[in-house]
Amino acid sequence: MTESVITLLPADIKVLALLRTRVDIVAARHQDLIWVKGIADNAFRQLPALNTWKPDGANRLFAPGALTPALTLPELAWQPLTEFIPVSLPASGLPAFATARHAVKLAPCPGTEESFAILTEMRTLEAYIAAAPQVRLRHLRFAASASARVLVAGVPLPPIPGTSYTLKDRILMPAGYDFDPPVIRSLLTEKLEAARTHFLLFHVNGAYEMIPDTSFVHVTRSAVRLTAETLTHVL
Amino acid sequence: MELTEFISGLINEGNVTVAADLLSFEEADLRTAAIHLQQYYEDDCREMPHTAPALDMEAALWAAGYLYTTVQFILLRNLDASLLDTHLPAYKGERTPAAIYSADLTLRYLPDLFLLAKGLSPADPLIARFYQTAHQWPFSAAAIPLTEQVDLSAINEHPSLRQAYTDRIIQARNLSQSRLPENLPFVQAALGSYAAQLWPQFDTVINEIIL
Repeated sequence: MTESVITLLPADIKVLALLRTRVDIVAARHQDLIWVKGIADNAFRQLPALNTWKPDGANRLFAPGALTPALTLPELAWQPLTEFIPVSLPASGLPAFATARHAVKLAPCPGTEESFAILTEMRTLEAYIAAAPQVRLRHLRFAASASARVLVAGVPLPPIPGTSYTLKDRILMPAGYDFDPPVIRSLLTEKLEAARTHFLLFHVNGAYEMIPDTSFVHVTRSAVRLTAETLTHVL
Repeated sequence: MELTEFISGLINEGNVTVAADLLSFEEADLRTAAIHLQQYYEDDCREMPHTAPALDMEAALWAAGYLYTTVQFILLRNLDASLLDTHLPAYKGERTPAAIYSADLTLRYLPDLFLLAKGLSPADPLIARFYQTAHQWPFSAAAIPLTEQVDLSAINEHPSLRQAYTDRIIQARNLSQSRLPENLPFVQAALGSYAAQLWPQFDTVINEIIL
């Protein structure tokens, strides 16, 4: 077997890569072609060559069977195939970091859980406790906001107008609603450090408020009336 | 300032001190005691349902003195029973809603004293006096089971007293009072459909009455 020189189209580098482990083959780029030089064994001859020549000792290239040279081998920077065709790691199949935020959404659900809290107005609660029996108050707790909204918690709830909420995993959800999808609930309690010391009160539009545990006090007539007195500027 | 210190200790600390001898309160002591009672009334009003009755200082001072002397009779065992009439005089005014609530500011401790005295000496003439006082001031004695009919007209005519009296019957789990015809509808209304949950014994009694 004698040495041959061939030229390949750049697109055929993938075919050449099949012989990448051959140490007797070198390659170089010249004039938009890949020049390959090596021993013309069967594997070499199966390359999709554009031209094939036999070089002589003076770097003259002879076409197969020709007695006169077709051209002189140009000065090329020959490289072993391992360098000419470097390897690279394939693109990672691992999931990328999520950069888009998922908006928390609530959707109606068919559940029939008992309501645990009711969001109402301070005036409404104040009117209720004035006439309500004490036995219906002593199991209740309430937290008031600066805007005179008040969240009353405890079962049974007082029969007053307001938005009722169910409680699960320290998340207060509007009655008849759940997360969409429901699995968000466990993610929220895992991710939100504040969920250990706060109740998370969600609204139907997905917005939520954090209410510290320490904001709740027992419902007594005096506690409600004193709180209402501090909110007279918004009542 | 015996009465003043007595009221102050009762309200602020829950502990009272009384003199070793029966005595009459000085005018200055009564004036200062009235200031304490006025403040106590204003604070206590916030815990009353609806709008509390007005303050009747005469009734409030009478009740404070009455309670003071009652404690003396419990602690000073050497006192003769004949002194009860002299030193525990009945209230001379009309028992209006204002008088009932004002006297209750201190008479509300009567049931606790009743249990204490009964435990010390069930046959003590003071016990009979307790029952007599409880019948005259049922609003303050809601926790004491009474066998005889009591006049609840003044309580029933005032929504604040009526609701608070019902609260006290339920709070004391006083089944005998709750079953009385004049109290039963109010107790039932207060418990609503949660009687089995809030007061299971009452629920059982009501079911027995109905069935």
